[in-house]
Amino acid sequence: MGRLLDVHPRVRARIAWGTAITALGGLLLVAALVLLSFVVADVFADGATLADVAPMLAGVAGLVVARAVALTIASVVHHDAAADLQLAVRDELTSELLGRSPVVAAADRAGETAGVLGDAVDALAPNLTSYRPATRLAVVLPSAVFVTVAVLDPWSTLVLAFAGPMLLLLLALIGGRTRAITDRRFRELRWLDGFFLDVLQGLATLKAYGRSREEAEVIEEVSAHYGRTTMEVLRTAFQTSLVMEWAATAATALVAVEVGFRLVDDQLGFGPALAVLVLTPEFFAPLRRLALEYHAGTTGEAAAERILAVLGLEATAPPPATATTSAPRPGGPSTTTDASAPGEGRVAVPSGALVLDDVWATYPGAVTPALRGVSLRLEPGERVALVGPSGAGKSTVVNLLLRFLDPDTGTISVGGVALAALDTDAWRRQIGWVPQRPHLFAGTVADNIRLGQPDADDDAVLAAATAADADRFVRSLPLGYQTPVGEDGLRLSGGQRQRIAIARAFLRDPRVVLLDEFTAHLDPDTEQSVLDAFDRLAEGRTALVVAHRPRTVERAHRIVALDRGQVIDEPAGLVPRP
Amino acid sequence: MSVLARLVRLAGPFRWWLAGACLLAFATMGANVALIAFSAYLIAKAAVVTSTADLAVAITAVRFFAVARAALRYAERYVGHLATFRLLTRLRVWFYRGVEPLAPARLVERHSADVFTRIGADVETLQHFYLRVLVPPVAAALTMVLASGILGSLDWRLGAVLLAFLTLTGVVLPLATRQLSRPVAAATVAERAGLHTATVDAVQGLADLLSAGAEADQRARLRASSRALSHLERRVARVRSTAEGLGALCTGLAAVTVTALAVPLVTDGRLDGVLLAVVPLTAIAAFEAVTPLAAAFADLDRSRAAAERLFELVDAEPAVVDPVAPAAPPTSFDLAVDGLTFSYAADEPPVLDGVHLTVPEGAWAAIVGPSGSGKSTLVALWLRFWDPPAGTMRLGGRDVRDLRADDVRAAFAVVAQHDHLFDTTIADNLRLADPDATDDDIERVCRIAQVHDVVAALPDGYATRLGPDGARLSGGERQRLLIARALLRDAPVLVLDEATAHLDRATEEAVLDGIRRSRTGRTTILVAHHADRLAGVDTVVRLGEAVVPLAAEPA
Repeated sequence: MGRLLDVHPRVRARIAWGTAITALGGLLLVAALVLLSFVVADVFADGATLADVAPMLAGVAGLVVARAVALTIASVVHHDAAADLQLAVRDELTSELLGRSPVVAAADRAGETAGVLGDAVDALAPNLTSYRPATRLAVVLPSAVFVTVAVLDPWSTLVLAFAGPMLLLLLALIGGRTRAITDRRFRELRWLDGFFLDVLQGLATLKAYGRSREEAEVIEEVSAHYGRTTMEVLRTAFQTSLVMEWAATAATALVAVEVGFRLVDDQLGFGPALAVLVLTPEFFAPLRRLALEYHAGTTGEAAAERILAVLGLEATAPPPATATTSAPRPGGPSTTTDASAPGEGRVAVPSGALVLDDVWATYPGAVTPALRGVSLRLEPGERVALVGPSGAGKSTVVNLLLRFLDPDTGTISVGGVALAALDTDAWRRQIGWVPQRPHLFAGTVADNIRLGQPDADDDAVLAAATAADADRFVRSLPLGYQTPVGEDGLRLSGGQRQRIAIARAFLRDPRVVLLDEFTAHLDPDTEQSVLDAFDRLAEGRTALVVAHRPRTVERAHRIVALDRGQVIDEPAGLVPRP
Repeated sequence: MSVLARLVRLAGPFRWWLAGACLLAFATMGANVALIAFSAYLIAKAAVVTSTADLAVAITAVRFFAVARAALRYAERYVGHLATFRLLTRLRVWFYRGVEPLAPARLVERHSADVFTRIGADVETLQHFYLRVLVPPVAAALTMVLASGILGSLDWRLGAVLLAFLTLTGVVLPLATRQLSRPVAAATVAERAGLHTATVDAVQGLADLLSAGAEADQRARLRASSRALSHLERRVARVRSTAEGLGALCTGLAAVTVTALAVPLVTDGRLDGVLLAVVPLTAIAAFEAVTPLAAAFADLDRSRAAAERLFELVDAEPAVVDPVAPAAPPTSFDLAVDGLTFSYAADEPPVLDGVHLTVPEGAWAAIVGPSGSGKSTLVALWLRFWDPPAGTMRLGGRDVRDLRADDVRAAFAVVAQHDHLFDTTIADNLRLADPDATDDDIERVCRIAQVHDVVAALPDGYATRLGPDGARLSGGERQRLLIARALLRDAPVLVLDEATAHLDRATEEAVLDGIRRSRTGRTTILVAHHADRLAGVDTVVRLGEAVVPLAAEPA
């Protein structure tokens, strides 16, 4: 968390302000309690009337109001600072997410980035708004109480001085043993939840094997067993809190008795005595609150670590000068990101042949190259079918052409100009890509066809959909082109998704098309429809088709066969049999 | 019955534990009130007496409550957590028993794939319902009565004022906060879901976005969503912060007010001056009880939503109900399906439409059809996961609807596409099929399924833990392990639903060969896309067509 705040000094400053106001609230509390004690003392010991003490009572009320205002302001400041940090971190994570190459993203653990943007960012707030103020208050308030007591009744500081080391000891206990125990408890609960989830997910299997009813007993047994072992562990944690509680109550009792004895001997005024008694619990209260906030603290710290890891700001890396640009990972894979393509020029995309010359390529994290010296030439308007077994490197060629991956050695050029010298966005604008499983984004069908061309008018969308033979099925959807699809919308079949992607490509009117033919089985009508749409899209454009079907291969002008990362001469054996 | 009443009833067997937790929580807070009150009394008394002997009673009380408070806190936490663990077990078992008859039909019909993750989270939320939602208000109410009672015994007005302030802080303030933040909270939930969707889109559709040059649009969408969420969260935080400040204000003003009321009483001699210090200190101590109530109200809403979802699931009617007077278990295992029609939902087109097929006992048969033709649905119907609305299914000549579902399932060993591997050892996963299987039995079926060498090569062999849903295995290893498990069941009918799809030719043939030789008389049904990999099959069933002998198949 500290390092995250290093990168966001303004948030850190505001948290510091908020904490200062929280501390001020603590001091106001001390003042109010002392003043209230003297009101009681004046009435009880000196026979003052309500009129006599009214100004002092008003003073107490004033302090109470001031403290309430301070607490409110401090809370608002903390929450605002946390919201600012969350906003900034979300933006940074978004940039990081969208700036990566898809091949790097694929190598990452799938859900991690999404989880970081959700849970981890959420977990920052309780740490900043509750835990951090509590850590500061645990220092400020006991100190203030100690000083006040020292002024009012130096002898009573002995009790606090005895409790002080105890307090530190307890803090150490919280920092060490309790931390480990609390962590373990949460781990075990998580394990148990995982176990339960596992059983639920396997319910159909259990049922098929006629074992589902007995499993209830297993759940009971495992839950009960874990309950027992966890209680053993918890007993230790409870003992710690027992000691802490006892220290607070014992100190209060000790002060009451010790102060009482000296009152009997008239060594002490009633006012200071009562004030000391009232203040003693406040010496320990912040510590108890800290113990309560402990979980928010560790969760937030862990979340901050996850965020820093995704942002590439691991523990060893020094914080970058600016917060919004994420540094490329040192020693990372040679993948292209939009923001930092090396040697990027602003050369206009030339027309002409698309050429791969002795290209070697290795995926990040992989040991062996996926392509080993591939040379390939696509003339303008030519349609080439790329065939080969899975793992031969077909998708790698597509990834290279899309600049999701850069070659280790060798060059890829268009019209004699290296792709690396072109503006990546401008180059991609020339490409229409139809992946095997196109992603549908949350939004309408029309939005999805407009992807990357948000200004395209309805007629253009309709024309593209018609050319992709998507118009027929789109019209049959409940709301036609306005039907919501994606995460919360209607699920479309594989053939329908591909036709949406083909419509996307038509709308872009690209010079080059990259088609990744589906391998899944489609019903004959759909298959025919998609293949016809493929044909129309490839017509008159430079087309590279990763082919799995005999018919697609037949329509190509030329067949290139890949095997284990190399172009092979005898494609016959690898061409799908009719 | 309301959701909350049902929740409370669920805790029935543990009501004494919960009552104990309530009482202990109250006693802990009460001890603190008493400790503070007696301490104040002690020093006030000390100011007027001349001998420490006169303080003996007060000193004893102070000591007692100091120790009692610490001990009670320990007991409270101990009992509370013990009760939580037992409730947690009870909740899980209750939910499991409720949902077991419904699975998988009622779980997959109306819910998306992550229904289980949500169930897990909901049960987790509920395990805190009792200790965080039920106990604090009861303990707080008792403490409020105690503290107001103490002050009320001195003068009724003192008690009334304290009770009013406590009610204001503990009940009115949290309710008002909830009322004010509820619409914003609902909007926050929606906005959070929107942000999540946009994030998942960005992660899963990254290649599509980049190739279409649409990453800037998606970034703008994410930023807008993030800003909207942030704005809403700030509004909620403002309300909560104000409530927090008002709570502190009430505590302080309560102390000031009771003091201002008590001072004239002392002056008039209606209240012993020795007790004056007790008044504000008792008031302050009592607020310890009402502070957690705001959190309890928030947890209440969460628990109610979680409980509603779980009750809705558990309350569903089972898809298949056993007959009142079931027929005796079948003794022969010919399979016959006649006019079978089935759709998952009334408004969806049928997955199976008038299917006829027969597979005689002992046959080596194949069911072939493209994806979506209902092959897996047919298998699920044989497992009695659903009841077909039209048509009959006969097992050994008996209508499956006249048999107990368990008796029908006992006839089948199925390797389904979505079969689950549990996060336990390999041996445990296999013994699911036969708890009494010996190590030799297990090794035998694993050899047939060509997976023994794979398992033997693992560091812990058959004792290796698999991880969540067989995460440690490749697709092919997983399938072979599932086949081994089905073989261990040794049922009259073995169904392999695309179970060899991830295997290479040689392994596939070795597996099928081993199965063929491992038992005579067993019916084996292979479910596949295409017939081309099914050499040696007696009968091929194409869905929707009559049984066609292989010889009659067009080449």
